[in-house]
Amino acid sequence: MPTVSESNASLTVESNLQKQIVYSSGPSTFQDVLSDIKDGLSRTPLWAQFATRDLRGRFSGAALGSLWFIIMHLLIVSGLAVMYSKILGTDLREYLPYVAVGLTVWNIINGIISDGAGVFPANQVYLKQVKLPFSFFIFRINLKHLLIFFYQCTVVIGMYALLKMGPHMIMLLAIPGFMLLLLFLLSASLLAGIVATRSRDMNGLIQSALRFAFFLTPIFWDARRLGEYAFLMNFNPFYHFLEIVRAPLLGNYPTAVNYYACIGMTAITIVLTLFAFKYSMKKLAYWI
Amino acid sequence: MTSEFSQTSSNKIVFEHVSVHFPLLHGQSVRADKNTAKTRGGTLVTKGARVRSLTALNNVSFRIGQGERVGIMGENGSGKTTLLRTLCGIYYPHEGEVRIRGRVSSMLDLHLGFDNDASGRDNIWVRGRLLGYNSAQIESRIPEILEFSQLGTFLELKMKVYSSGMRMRLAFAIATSFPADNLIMDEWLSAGDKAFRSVAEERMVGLVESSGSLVIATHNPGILRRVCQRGIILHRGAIIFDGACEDAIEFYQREIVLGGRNKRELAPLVGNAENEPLTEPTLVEPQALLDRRLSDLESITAALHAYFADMGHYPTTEDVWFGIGRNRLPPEEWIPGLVSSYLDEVPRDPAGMPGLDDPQYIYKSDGEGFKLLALKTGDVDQVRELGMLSAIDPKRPWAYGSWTEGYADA
Repeated sequence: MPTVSESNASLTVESNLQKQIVYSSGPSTFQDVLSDIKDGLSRTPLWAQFATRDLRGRFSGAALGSLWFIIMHLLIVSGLAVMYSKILGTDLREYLPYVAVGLTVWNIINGIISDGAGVFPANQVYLKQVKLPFSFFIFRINLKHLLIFFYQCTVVIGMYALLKMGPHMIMLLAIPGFMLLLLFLLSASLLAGIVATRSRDMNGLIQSALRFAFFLTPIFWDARRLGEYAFLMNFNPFYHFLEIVRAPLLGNYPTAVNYYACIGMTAITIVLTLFAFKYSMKKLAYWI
Repeated sequence: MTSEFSQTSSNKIVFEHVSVHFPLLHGQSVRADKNTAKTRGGTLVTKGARVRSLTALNNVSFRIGQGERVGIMGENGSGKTTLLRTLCGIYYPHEGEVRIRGRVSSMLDLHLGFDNDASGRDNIWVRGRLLGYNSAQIESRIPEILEFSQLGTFLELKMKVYSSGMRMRLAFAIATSFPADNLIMDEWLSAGDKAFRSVAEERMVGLVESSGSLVIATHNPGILRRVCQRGIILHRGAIIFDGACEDAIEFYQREIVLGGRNKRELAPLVGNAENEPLTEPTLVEPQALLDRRLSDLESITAALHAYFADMGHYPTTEDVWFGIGRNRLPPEEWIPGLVSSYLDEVPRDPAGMPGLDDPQYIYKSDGEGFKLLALKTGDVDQVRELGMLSAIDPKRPWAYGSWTEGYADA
């Protein structure tokens, strides 16, 4: 008679004939977490296909199709830049790239976390009919927003070309910054997904927090205008992630504090996510 | 544990004392009702004044060997779907253990993942990948899928131009073109025309004959007879019968379909004074799944004949109406006025039939036999096949006009 504690992981045992899968009660292990992620990565063609389908579906039937991602972004960026440069009395030539980069980076942060919070209930058709790793759906939404990000980047590139802001070596620094941001978003979206699946109120909370953060983060206003209160921005996690990507693109170096904060937050989020995932792995299907 | 298992290496699937409980989250929790009436579904577990969870599978144990084809029977809410999902690894058991040798092909929904805006060929790739096959495996199967689905050049067209029959063919062709170890299917074979069904069944049996196993949930004795060798009957989340196919069908007809009263005694109840069993069927299976499932006229009609034969006669009163339902469409969505007024006249429990509150079929007994008078269906072919004289579109109730004798030999 097997007891529950004897094999509590969905491990696979190589037998003389075929692999044996065991689903049992008991807590899951970090090994289960890793194999879910590994399994998710091995399904890359499928989630890549789903992500592109998500994009295609957004403007399906429209003559301009996916061009709308670019047009929409162009309209918002230029409208916001023209209006706020007047309100804030700043130079449009300086303000335009600032807003363009800021909004583009903010959109991917906002998109991934906000989609992440609803990812499991939204995919319950899949989760209840076929065995797919949970990370599969996380990869799918991350890729979807990464693709939207690339579309929106063309607006930034266009503006740089228009303003004759040539490429500069410092700009390369944005790449590691963006990689770090992506890592953070990958784990943050999974964490948000788990928490908001268990407690549906968290979804509302996350959505409101993101909207709130949009106004509290220097995206269309400059942190320096806070004067002596500028240090308050150090407590805004999104500010640091924004800076490590935006500052190099505007020709400035991000501060060391920016990097420390981002690395620290990414590490903490990953640890939290791993524990939350380990705890919830066998329960997620029941929570949906 | 492992040593015990390897001695019986022909076992493909082993359920060992598996229990599954659904927590009632997100405001689903309700006040405990002391009325433990004759209802179906899993056992509700109460804590204090409120129902906290629902036991969908209760201490389920069985072994399925190599090449075995097993049908899972049971009423709605008896735990069939939960069992299949536990088998697929979607739900982890709360107690006990599930062990599976070889790949599990979960075919609970053959259309899952289909994209209307993509071609049939693209959708083969999506489905193939969803089932976990790699590019080489999918590529090598495309000719066979094309041949069986008989789609021809349609394969290159967007799927939105497909008829539902073509969709079904493609879905089924994909599902059965890959080698399968353990095939898990929910009742979907009742869809499609007769010719297709028989080909499909043949193909399915062939697929698992050599080395695999097949587990299929169904209400349909016909499918069970043709496809399975063994039947397992679930009732309120527990196995109440496990044996040869014919015996299972007989048991099911006698105890579940017809023996409305007896089945209470059969049900292995869990629960004690503070853990009182209550039942509520709709919580076990998601509504969407129930709605999609077609009821099976054949099996119901056969059951009715058997029941009346058992009684020795058909009801003699002209005006005994009874309905049998499995569909969960709200009553207002079907034949307005007409059937609901009949329902008022129907005795609460005229023939000990379950599901009277929401009939799918309305019969009329004339003392010698019974005739199908009305049915609720979304399938126009079915209406035609049964020779119904008139049909009513619930969206245009004013169009039903005079109801002529809508008789058809059932």
